[in-house]
Amino acid sequence: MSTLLTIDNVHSFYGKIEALKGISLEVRQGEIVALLGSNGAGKSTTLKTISGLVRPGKGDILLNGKSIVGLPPHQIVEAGIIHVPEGRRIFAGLTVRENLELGGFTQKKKKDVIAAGIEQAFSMFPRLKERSTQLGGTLSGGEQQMLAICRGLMARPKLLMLDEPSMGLAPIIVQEIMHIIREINKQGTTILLIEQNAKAALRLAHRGYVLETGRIVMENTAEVLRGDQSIVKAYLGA
Amino acid sequence: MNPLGKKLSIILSLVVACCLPFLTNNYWLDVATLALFYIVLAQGLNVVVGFAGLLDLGYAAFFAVGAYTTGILMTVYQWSFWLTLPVSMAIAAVVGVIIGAPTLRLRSDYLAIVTLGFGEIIRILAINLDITGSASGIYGIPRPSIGSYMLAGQMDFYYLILIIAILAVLAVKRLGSSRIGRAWMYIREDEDAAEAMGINRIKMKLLAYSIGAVIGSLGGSVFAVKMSAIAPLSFSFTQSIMILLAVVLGGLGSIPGVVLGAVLVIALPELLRSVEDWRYLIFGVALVAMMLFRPQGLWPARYDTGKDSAHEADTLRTEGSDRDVQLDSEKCNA
Repeated sequence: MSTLLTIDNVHSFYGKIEALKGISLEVRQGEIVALLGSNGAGKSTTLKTISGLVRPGKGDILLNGKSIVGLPPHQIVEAGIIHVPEGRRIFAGLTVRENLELGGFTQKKKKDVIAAGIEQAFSMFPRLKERSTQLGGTLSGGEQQMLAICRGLMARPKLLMLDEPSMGLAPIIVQEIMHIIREINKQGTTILLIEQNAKAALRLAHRGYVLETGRIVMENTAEVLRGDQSIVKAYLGA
Repeated sequence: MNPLGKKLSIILSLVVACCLPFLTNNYWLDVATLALFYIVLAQGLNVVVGFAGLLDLGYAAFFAVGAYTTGILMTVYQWSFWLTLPVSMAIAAVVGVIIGAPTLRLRSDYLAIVTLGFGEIIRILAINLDITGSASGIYGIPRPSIGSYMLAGQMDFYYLILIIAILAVLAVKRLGSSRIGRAWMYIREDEDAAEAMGINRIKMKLLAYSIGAVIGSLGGSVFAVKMSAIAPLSFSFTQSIMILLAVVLGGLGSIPGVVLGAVLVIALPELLRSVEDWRYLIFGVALVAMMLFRPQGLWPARYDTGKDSAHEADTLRTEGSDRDVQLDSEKCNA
């Protein structure tokens, strides 16, 4: 498996506070990688740094061997990295269809690509099709998450980054979302996933990294992490 | 409204607008002309505030840039009016970028304060520069002519600004439903999410300022030749507020709403003339009542429908209404 994304010794700051203190990780083509850790460990900051919303103070980020550090977010999207932000951030005042169209914003004149993407989203989540003319804000939490994921897929990303897709959702919906994430991955999209719900994440992921106050303290295959008692105690709420 | 009804009502209002000079006296024709100016200005501001969600309290600055560019080029350099239009639009676009660039990182209240400052800078420059005729302004601006026909009468200017207003409405309408328009909407709804989806935030915001400025300057250019004299007084803070009022009153981002808002902002105080001193009080109370009972505007854009729309949209509305309440009290004091 070739490496899709490499993060090399990245430091990120919020003002004077160092949120990432030298993170290195890699995501290989076709993988699902989980980032685990407690609140404030730097998981979301890692994603924001990759997508260009936060600029790293030091270090390098490579996509397919090419540095993307310092590129503005919209160019990083065009390069193939999509960030589905925490709390879904769908456009509540726009319809489901318009939300999806937004996801295809970088496809510019390719109307057929956008139409195909919307079709794909609707076949993956028939419920979104039923509600295509409804305002995003009127959807349930689970439906909003599905919409946010589909919106991210509209840009045909090489790497899809999901920030806590299970947050605030009923367990049964969480299962459904996890199932969909696996499906998306099987269809060829590489996924970098943040989850508080570490158990669910490790069932899904191939590999995982554990973050603690801005540093990576452990990395291994999901299987090993699942079996590690200290992790289970500290993060998985066993 | 169904599409047929929509078409009919557009045609009907166009017919009324075209026939108006023959149906009314000079006084009301002048009021109508002013209302058309406000339609142009409010549509320009609608791009900035309604579409892109950037609160601008200094919009009269662009109106001034258009008026002064045309005024100076025509009086000092004897240019033809029509040639001044592209120049004033180009200058306005540049000024739009100059005002837009330092405000890119700012949001809501902070943005409003900076735009207010820029509006004042332009007005105070106009008062103090020699080329703008300082406090007395520029007078003796020649009448424009088409071939050998000179536009001089009230009716001529009415039709001139009517054409500009129609063009402005069409342009804003097309922009609103274009890819750029959607990008503005996304930025307005959630700037971070829009950026994460691949929208070039900086480019789109600057574009909104520039296009808004160009439309405002067009209104200003026509204003200069219509009045044949311009002075800094016409480009005061109150002017910016009245234009914003037209946009908010009609419905942020709604094209028919903004047209309606512009007409009302001009027509209501005139209609209330019979009650003399009380008219601005009544106007103010009407606005307060309106913002309390219909904060989304008289003819809201499709997205701001009722309670089911989002929290963000609600905040935007309340912010808008708060500001109007403040500005009503100012008007009452004035």
